[in-house]
Amino acid sequence: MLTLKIEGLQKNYRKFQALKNINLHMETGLFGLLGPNGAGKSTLMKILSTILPFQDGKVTIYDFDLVKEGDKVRQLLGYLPQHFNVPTQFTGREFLHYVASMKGITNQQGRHLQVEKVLEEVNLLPQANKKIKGYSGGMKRRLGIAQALLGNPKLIILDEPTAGLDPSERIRFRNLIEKLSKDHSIILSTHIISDIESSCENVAVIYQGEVLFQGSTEELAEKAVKVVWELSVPFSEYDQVEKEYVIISNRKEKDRVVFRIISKEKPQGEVSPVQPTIEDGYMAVINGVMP
Amino acid sequence: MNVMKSIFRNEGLLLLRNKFLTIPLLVNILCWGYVIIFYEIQPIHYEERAAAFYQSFIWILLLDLLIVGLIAIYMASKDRESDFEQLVVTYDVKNMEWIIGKWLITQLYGLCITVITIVVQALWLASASMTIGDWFKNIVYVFIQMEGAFLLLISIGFLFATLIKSMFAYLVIPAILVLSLMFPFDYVGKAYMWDNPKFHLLTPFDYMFIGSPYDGVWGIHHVLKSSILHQSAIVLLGITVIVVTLLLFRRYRMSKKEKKMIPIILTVFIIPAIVLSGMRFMQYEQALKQYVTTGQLYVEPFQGDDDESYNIWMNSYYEYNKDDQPYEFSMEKTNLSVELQADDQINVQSTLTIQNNGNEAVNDVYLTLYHGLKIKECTSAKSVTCSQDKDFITLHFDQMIQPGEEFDLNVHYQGKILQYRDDGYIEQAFIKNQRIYLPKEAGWYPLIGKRPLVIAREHNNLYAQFELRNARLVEDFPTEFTVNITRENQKVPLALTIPEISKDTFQGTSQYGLSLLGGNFKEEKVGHIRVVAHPEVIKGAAEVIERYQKAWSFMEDWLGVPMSPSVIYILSDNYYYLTQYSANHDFFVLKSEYKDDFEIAYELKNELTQEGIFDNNQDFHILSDAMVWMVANHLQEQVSFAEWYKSNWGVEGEDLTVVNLLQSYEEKGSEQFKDVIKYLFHYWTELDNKHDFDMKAALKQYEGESRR
Repeated sequence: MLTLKIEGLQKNYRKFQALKNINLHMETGLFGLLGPNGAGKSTLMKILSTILPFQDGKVTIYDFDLVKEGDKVRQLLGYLPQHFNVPTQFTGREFLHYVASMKGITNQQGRHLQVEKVLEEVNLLPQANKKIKGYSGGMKRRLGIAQALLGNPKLIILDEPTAGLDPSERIRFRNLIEKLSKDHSIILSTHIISDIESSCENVAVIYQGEVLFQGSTEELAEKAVKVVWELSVPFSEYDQVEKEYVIISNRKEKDRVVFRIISKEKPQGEVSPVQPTIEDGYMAVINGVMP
Repeated sequence: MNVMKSIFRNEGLLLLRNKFLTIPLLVNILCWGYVIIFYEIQPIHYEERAAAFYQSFIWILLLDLLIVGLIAIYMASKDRESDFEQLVVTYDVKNMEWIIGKWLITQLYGLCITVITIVVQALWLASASMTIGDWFKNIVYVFIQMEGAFLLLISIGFLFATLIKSMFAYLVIPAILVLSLMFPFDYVGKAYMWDNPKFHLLTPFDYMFIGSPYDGVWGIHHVLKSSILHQSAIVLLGITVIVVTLLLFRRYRMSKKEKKMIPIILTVFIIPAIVLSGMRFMQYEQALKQYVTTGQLYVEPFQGDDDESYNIWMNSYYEYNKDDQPYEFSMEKTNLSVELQADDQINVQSTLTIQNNGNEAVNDVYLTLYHGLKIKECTSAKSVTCSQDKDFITLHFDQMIQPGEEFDLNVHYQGKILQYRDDGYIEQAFIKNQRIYLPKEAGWYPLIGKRPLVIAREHNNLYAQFELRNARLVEDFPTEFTVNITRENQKVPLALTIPEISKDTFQGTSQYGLSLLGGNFKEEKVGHIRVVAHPEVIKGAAEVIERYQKAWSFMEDWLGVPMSPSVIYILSDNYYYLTQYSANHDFFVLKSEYKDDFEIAYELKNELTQEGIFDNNQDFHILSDAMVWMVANHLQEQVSFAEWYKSNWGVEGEDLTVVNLLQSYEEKGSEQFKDVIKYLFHYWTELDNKHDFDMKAALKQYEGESRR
């Protein structure tokens, strides 16, 4: 059984077409959804989370039709939105109890067990009785994960979960997601490649409302085979390179700059081909620079 | 249900932790504290506690409606604005559980304000002069008024917060309240042509409640029943609105159960809401219809064709209203056996003794009786036929009634006495369980002569197309009255403008006539005057009346005119205004309020100079002011007349010629001044055409007569 199946999905905001004929499928595990800001990732996440209706197409989650059986889909879902804003006058524990009851866990004892379990899972037990307004950004995100975990969902949707976190919180968060992916299917939407490259097996790239790629991370990296180069130029040519090529990164070497670029043709000058990464594949896909 | 309970509990917890939301509760407590302390520290109370309570209640409720309405918008939109709602809709919670849970906690917040108000009211009115039953009814009234209003406004808040997904939603509540205040343009009971009084049903503050729902000796009984009906419709409408909100809130995520249930719930509530609203509307409609029918019966069309002649014609009302045309016949005795029946019905057996005071023998004698009362039987020792046309009864005798002849007439009449004034908002005459009022102006017993009970004139700028006022009814002769009252259900104490000699039997002579009153009142003597007032205001009224008495005695001694009444009714504002012009030296009406010396002086001067009040004769107005000054100066020493006049009217130079002329007499001594003003007053009284009053000519004549 597929976790998620999307066929011909279209979403319009008045005249603006936010999603154009999206076709996607996902099996179990951790699924990455990559795309730059404004690509339509959050819109797609909101549709999958039953927040937004859509105009055309069909979405099924664990074989439940999202439109006709939205209430059944919601019973299987855990969702962490990009902007996780909750009433900050609650303590973490109170908030989770509130969410648990809204998720249908009305038995007090059962609710208590679940809340304590998720608090432990996200390592928030020591701060559980502290008001949310006193939480750091990372703690709030962990609380967000905790609320998504309540009700033991089969599918967890995480929309830009690491945005705005400091490096140590981000690493902690990635580890947590990886740990959760053992027991849950997770869709992770992000524009940060490093969030998914270590843990996701399958990814999709979405750009300007269209899915440009769906496959494994290796397949994504392969999209950039023979188009990734390292080009070494003097500092004086910096601007010219920037204009001519899609630059992945650069580094300074003595009085020269070494660019990692994408180009179908071999660039002129001191250049060498390099092995592509997921990031190279992603950039090649969204820039349409493929062999 | 458990989920809804949890939402209710958790949203309640958030409310409790929001410090700002305690401010409205504190504001309520402070406002009421101010009202109560301000009232209680007064050494003498001129109005009842309940009157003071309801005057403030109207405006504090308006503030509360604004606050609760805004909180409703906040509660419905705060989670959408903070994106929490986006998270909530991914949960298993149903739309109905989410919305209703938050709606209920907002209602609980409103209930907290209601409870504060009711506790304040209950404690404060516990020390007021009212029965426990009345005390409880007042609490019920305030509860239904507040809760009905909150329920509807909170629902409206939720609806608009769902429809308008921006901060503009917050503007809806003040807009509704401002519109509702502006909608009833006719705060004085005269709806202009663009303002249909029936639409006031849609506003929380219609004319009926603008002054106060409280009516002195009748308490809140005149609005209680209709308020229960009104608020029942409001509650059902409030529920209907919140169900409509459910229908509009994220329709795509409605469960199958909700899709089935919501239209059923909507139908269940909307049908009785329509029925009750219709019933309430019919109450308005019936009262307005009766008012319009009454007006149409009396209305005089305007025959002229320009604005100036229209204004002259409208102002001639005052001339017409004098009721100064003498009638040859007098009502010597009136014996009434009055049965007060349910539903505003009266059944009266009357025996009238009528005398011909004229010089001619006549066959026809005229009486006036309200047209809603129908004559069942009309007999006399002499052969008589009675015919009734509108308010007039014509007695036709086969044998002429000779000059000086007296005859008895028995008239049995029955009918409905309920009458409306002011676009149907005020019941001018009524017989209800807790309140009775049959003012003389209602024409509830036979008056001698053809007398207009109402003066109605065409008025194109008014919704009803006419202006309607009670006519002034002034008797030429006193009448000996004996009135015996029996009643079916009413147990309230009764008072008449003549004294009660035994239980429900009244006897006495009055030149004013009979006004029957039943309600929560106390009767006390202030000097020789019987004062009928709400028990709480007797003390304040006595203080005011003692000063009136001082002024009356002064005027009687000074001008030799009867002034001091034998009975005074203290009535609420609406009824004071309806009755004040018919009061004469026998009967006086007062409002429950403090009066300063000049207010007393002006009022008594007006009573004596009704005919000249609207004249543009400057000399007469100076004479009037001199009379006012004289009375006020008697009550408390004033600066000289000329100084007072100058500061009062801000005039100087030539305009003061006549004033200075009078001042010269004041300088000669107070007795001289009194004498000259008295002379001028009588001079003016005897003038056939009051417009011709000329101060200089009158003073010249005074000087001439003084010399002789």
